[in-house]
Amino acid sequence: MGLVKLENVKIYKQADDWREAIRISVKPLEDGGYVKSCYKDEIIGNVEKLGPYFLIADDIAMPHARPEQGTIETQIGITLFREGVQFDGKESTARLFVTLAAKDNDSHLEALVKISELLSDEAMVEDILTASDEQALYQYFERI
Amino acid sequence: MIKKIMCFCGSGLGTSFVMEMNAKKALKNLGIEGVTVEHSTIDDVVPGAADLFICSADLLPNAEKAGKAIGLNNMVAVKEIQEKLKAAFEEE
Repeated sequence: MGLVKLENVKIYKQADDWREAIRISVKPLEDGGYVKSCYKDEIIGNVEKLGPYFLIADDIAMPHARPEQGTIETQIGITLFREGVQFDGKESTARLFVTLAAKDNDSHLEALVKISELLSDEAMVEDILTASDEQALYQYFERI
Repeated sequence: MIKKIMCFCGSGLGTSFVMEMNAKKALKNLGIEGVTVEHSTIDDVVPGAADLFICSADLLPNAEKAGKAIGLNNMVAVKEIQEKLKAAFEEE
């Protein structure tokens, strides 16, 4: 319970590129002490090696790396970019970044089940993508 | 015969787990029983590790080196995984 906190829910107009989007989406978790400063670079490195493996649906990215790549505490940050972020070699863009820090292999699974159920509803995703402000955006995730 | 399915992503933490959950739901919807579904990392994707691999569309070339595989564009919705699982089982 309570893996998403209001202070880790952010809305931005846009990011310069996908690397910038990753840095922005990880920043609240870094500032809050949930991940080390290397975490964002590890995620970027993973993408460079594997491609954007965390694009889980149209408009939705779930950036994450392994626990040993810099996680301190399990936490989830939510970042919404009003303009879609482009990833190399992908046609679809991502607006909602559900940024995951998992300190082990299972402490976040219950939260992931709830997030997955929430985001499997396309009408719900549309509502989330058009949330008016951070408070409104947070309300979709406060029970995660 | 598909008896063991392995869902995988780059880290084995997030996406692969969501796929495992949806694969189980899809199999149930299709009335397919007796199949083990697990999630893992790309490092475990080797020939013989499973009868069918499921991953994101990006990682499909890696999976196909190890065996029969399905690549997904949408990993949170059951619809796509169910359609592709149905086709995979019908091919058997």
